[in-house]
Formats: sequence, C-alpha cells, structure tokens
Amino acid sequence: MSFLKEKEFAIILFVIPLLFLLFNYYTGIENAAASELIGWGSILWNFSMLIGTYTMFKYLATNLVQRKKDSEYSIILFVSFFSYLYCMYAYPAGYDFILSSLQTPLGFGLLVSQFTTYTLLFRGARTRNWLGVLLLISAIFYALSMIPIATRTWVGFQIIGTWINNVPNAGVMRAITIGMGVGLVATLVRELTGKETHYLGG
Amino acid sequence: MEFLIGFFTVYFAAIILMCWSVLIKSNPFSKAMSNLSLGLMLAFWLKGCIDALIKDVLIPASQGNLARLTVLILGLLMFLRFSKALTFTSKWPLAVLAGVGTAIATKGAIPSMVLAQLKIGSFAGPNIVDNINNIIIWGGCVATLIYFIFSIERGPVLGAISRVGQVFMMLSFGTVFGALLTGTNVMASLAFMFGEPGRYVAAIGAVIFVAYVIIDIRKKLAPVEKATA
Amino acid sequence: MSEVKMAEKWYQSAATQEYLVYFSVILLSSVLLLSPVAFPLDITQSTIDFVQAIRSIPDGGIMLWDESNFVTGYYTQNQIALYRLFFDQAKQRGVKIIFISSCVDGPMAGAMINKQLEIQDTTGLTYGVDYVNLGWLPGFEIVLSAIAKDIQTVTSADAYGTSISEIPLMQGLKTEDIDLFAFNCGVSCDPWMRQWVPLHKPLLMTGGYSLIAQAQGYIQAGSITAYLNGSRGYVEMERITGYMTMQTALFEATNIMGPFSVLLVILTNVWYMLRKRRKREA
Repeated sequence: MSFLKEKEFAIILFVIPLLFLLFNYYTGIENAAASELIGWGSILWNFSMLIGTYTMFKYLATNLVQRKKDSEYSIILFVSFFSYLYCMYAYPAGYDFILSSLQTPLGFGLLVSQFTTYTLLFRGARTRNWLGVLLLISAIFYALSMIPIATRTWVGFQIIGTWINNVPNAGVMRAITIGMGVGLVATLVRELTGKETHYLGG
Repeated sequence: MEFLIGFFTVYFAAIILMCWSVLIKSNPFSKAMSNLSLGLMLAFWLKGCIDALIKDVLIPASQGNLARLTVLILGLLMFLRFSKALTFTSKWPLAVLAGVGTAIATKGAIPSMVLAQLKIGSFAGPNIVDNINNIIIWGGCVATLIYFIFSIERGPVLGAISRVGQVFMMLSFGTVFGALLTGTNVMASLAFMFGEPGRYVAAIGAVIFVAYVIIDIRKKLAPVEKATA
Repeated sequence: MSEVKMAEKWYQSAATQEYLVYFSVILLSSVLLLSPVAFPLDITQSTIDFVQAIRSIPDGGIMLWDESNFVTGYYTQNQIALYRLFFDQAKQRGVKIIFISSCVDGPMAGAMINKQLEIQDTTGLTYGVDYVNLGWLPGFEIVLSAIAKDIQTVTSADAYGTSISEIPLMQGLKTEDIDLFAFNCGVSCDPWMRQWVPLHKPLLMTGGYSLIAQAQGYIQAGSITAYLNGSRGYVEMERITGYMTMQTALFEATNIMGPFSVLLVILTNVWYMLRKRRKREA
C-alpha cells in the first residue's frame, strides 16, 4: 500500500500508456486498445476541466465570504454561470438570447487588444539598437505587403515583404520548429527516466 | 422574446462600451462585464464537458463498457485531491493523462517537426533566384540553430554565425510583429454602434468619455497652475 | 519637501496621449464605416491554390474541416463564404463534408459550426448523408490524434446527439478514406502538423497573418498544401468565388489603419531619437 503512495507508482502509470502508444504507432499492433487509450486522454482532460471549475468557484466563494476587495463582482459571475447553464439545458430561447445579445458583444468588447495594440506601437515600438531597427523595417515591409493601398502605391512593398516572409522568416521558423521537435524528444527521454515529473505537480 | 430583437443593438453598444471603459480606468462597469463574460464562458465550457462526459463515459459505462467504467473511476479519483488522506490517488489519472498527451505529441514530432523541416530545395537548379533563396533559407536555419546552442563556448566563428542568426531572427520576428500592424481594426465593433438605436448609446458614451478626459486633464494641470500662480 | 513634477502641457500626459490614440483609431474607423473606400485587390497565389485544392477534391470524395473561429466571427461573416465554397462542392460534385471542432479555447467554435449550418443553403443536401457536424470535442491535440488514428473513435455521437453508427456518412468510414483535411488555426499549427502530416493527405490551413508567418517552415516543406493568409486571404477567396460578405468591407479598413499603425511606429521612433539627442545635448 505504501508503494501506491510513492511518486514512482505515478511515474509507472505515466510511462506505461506512453510506451504503449509509441509502440502501437510504430508497429500498428493493438490499434483498438490504442484508440481507447487516446479516448481516455480526452475524457480525463474533461475531468480536469471540472476540477478547475470547482477550484475556481471555491476560491471565489471564499473571497466573497471573507469580503475581499472586488469580490462582490463574483456574484455576477455565479448568477450568469448558473442562469446560462440552466438556459442551455432547459430554455433554448434564453440560450439563443444570451449567445447573441450578451456573449457576442462581450466577445467583441473584451478584445480591447484592438486598442492596446496601438498604444503598444506608440509606447513600446522604440528601437535602441540596429537589430531593433531591422525588426521594425521587416515588420513595416511585411505589413505593407498585406495592404492593398500600399502595394498599389509601390510594388516593391509586396516583393520585399513577401520575400522577407518566404525566405529569412522561413529559415528561422524551420530552425525553431526543429529545435522544438528535438526539445520534445529530449523532454520525453527526461520524463521516461523520471527526471521530469512536472505533471505530478512538483 | 420577439420584443428583444429591437434592443439587440442597444445591448451590443452598451456592453461594448462598458468593456472599452477599462481603457480609461478600471471601473465597476468593466469589472462587471469581465465577470459576466467569465461566468458565461465557464458555463459554455462546462456544458461542453458535461455533454461529452455523458455521451462518451456515463452512457457506455452504464451499458457495461469496462474500459469506460475504468476511466470513469480514474476521473473521479481526480476529485480526491481535496481529501488529505487520499490526495496521492489524484496523481494517478494525471499521470495517465500526461502519458497519453506526451505520446501523442512526441510521435508526430519527428516526421513533421524535424525530418520534414530538413528538406531543402536545390542549390543548383535552373532558376538562380530560387537557388540563392534556398541558400539563404538554409543559412538562416543553421545560423539560428547555432544561436540557440549555449553549451559550447562561442569563439569568433560561432559568435559571428550567432550574430547572423540574430539578424535572421529579427527579420523573422518582424513578420510576426508586422501582423500586429495590419490585423487590428475596430470597425466590426463600431458597425454595431452606428446602427439604430446603438448610436444613441454610443453618443452618450462619447459625451461621458470627453467629459472625463477634460476633468482628468484639469485635475493634472491644477497643481501646476496653483504652483505657478 | 520633494517637488512633484507635473506635465507642463496637457498633451504631454501619458494618459492624454493614449486617449488621443484611441480617439484617432475610432475616428479613422468611423470615417471608413460612413464612407467606405473600395480598393482593387491583387489575388495572391496562395489563395488561388487554396480554392483550387478544395475544387480538386475528387467527385464524391470526403473532406474534414476543423473549426477554431469563435461564434463572434459569425457576426463579422468571416466564415460564410468559406462554408459556401464547401457546400458548392457538395452540391456540384457530391463531396461529403465532416465538420468538427477541436478548438483549445472551448465550445464557442462548435457554436460557430452550428450557426453557419443554420444559415447556409443546403438545398438538395441531406444531413448525415452529405455532411455531418460532430461538434466541439474536448482535448485539442488528443482529438486531432484520434481523428488521425481512427475517425470512428473520435466521438460516439454527433453534435445533435445522434449515434455515429446511425449516421450514413460515418458508417464504415476510415480516416484513410478522407481525401482532404482543412483547419482553421487560432494558435500555433504545430499540433495539426504533428498529427495530420503523417497521414500524407492534402492539408489546408487558414489563420492570422502571424500564424501563417510562423507556419512558413511547414508550408515550404510541403506539409501544408495551401493556406489563406489572414483576413486578406478570406477577402481574396471571396473575390475568387464571388461571395462577398461584410468581411470584404471590414478589410477595407486596413487601407487606412495599416498605414496609420506604420506611421505611429515611425513617429514614435523619430520622437524618441529626437528626445535622446536633446538629452545628450543638454
């Protein structure tokens, strides 16, 4: 029983499905079992969402009871949550209304990045060295290559912008992708040897 | 619900303006809207999750599907994280999930993220421009990879190649940054505020905004004016 | 007593400068809204290839579309022309369509599919025979992997609760029977590449400008057959197919907002350089 409490038991539970899926991928043996295991992943993901929701509600409710700053707004969260959940199951017209008249404008309105991007450009797009200048020049040419008025004004914007995207950018993205792929495999090896146990929460 | 169709744009305009008010200062309206959005989004998520669980777990498990019964038990074990005595059992389903996820991510990594990226066009084809471009792509790729190698000391040669890699990376990140310069416009949101009767809400919002800005500027200038007086 | 430094002029305050930027953005966008400017648009090869790839699905073939756009996109009509293109293939050449969403950001993408299917003209098509909506499925890359492994195990019922075994299109369907995979990308395309590239089928991608820029490695490696580059790609597709929507009107805004952004960047840097020089001289 004490072994079940050990970290090593959880690592075994991690390694077995991992090795089985990799084995199935390269050999094609036991496809049905592998498909079922992949389905398990999706189902367990769902359960983790439930846990996350419960944890968040518990935290907000605790804040509300303790009357912490701005905790009263959580009442709106709880009311909207339960009303919407009720409407989705029991009142389709209400669900349609909330989706069209509340959730959609909220989706538009909360995209304040539409504005903050401009203030970012105004405040943050300052270069301190020649590499920064290079970044901005590349950004400007690429941006202008996407804009019809710019490409009509001077065809060079399109040619240079497209070239930057297709040539130097492609080279760098290849390198980054290769690095990520190799990194994934390296992380796999570390996890298989038990050196990496972040999934156990520490 | 028919009568609400007439209010469609009022709700739109009012909600959008309340959300945008956070740009001026955090205020009760923007906090209310962000909490409302979070509540609605969570409900939507939860419904999707519950439906999937009913469809793919509870129904098959109730029909005697052993595999689904096992995963149901595993999923319920996750909730034992809240019990001090049995919290260790909540790590088991997480370990299985992590194992499945890692296998899924890794099995496709080598063919698509490594091997496919190593394919390069010809350096000696009929089109000289393509040849030069392929050389530049390959050079950029190698230089960038060398930049990210930190376990070898950078001498003059490696240092120079890393510098070339930095140049390539700046050009590349410029394209990502350039997307910011084109991809944003508020027209979609404004379209709903120019319709009837959203424009009245927008007008009220504009008046409040201008009044606030004037008061804000006056407050900031008042101590300077007192000091200079 | 320490001196508090206040802004000397009203426009030197950081908050005021931000308000001016917001006001300019709203003003410029409003001007465009009230008097739209149509500008000629050159169609890029990538969009031509994308439309061609969809039109090249064999008669009676099957395509799978993975949706990641939120339902808010329904109101800006940015998917209507694309779905119309799919259904044209279904009507004209008997192409079958499987709609699914593995969106990592949640079921809103599934709601998008539902909304699109409500408004599309599906005259002559039968749900379950010519097209099916499997809805949003949780798990993101796990769902993509399940699709790649065996489409039958992805879910037990469609978005409306009908069992997969009762849907004619899904009966006996294997992943290798699907002729084309297409997806809409809201995050990096790596998960789709990891799971679907080994299938060696045509793979189409739509996504924002930055995501397409990040996917250049895959595009050049031939992993991605064709792509639509951001909102410009959608608008070009509308021009090719002739199905114009609000998206075309919204895109016109980039003719002013784009140069405005570029101007902001240049002004910021020029102003910063001048301030630095003044400080050095002082």
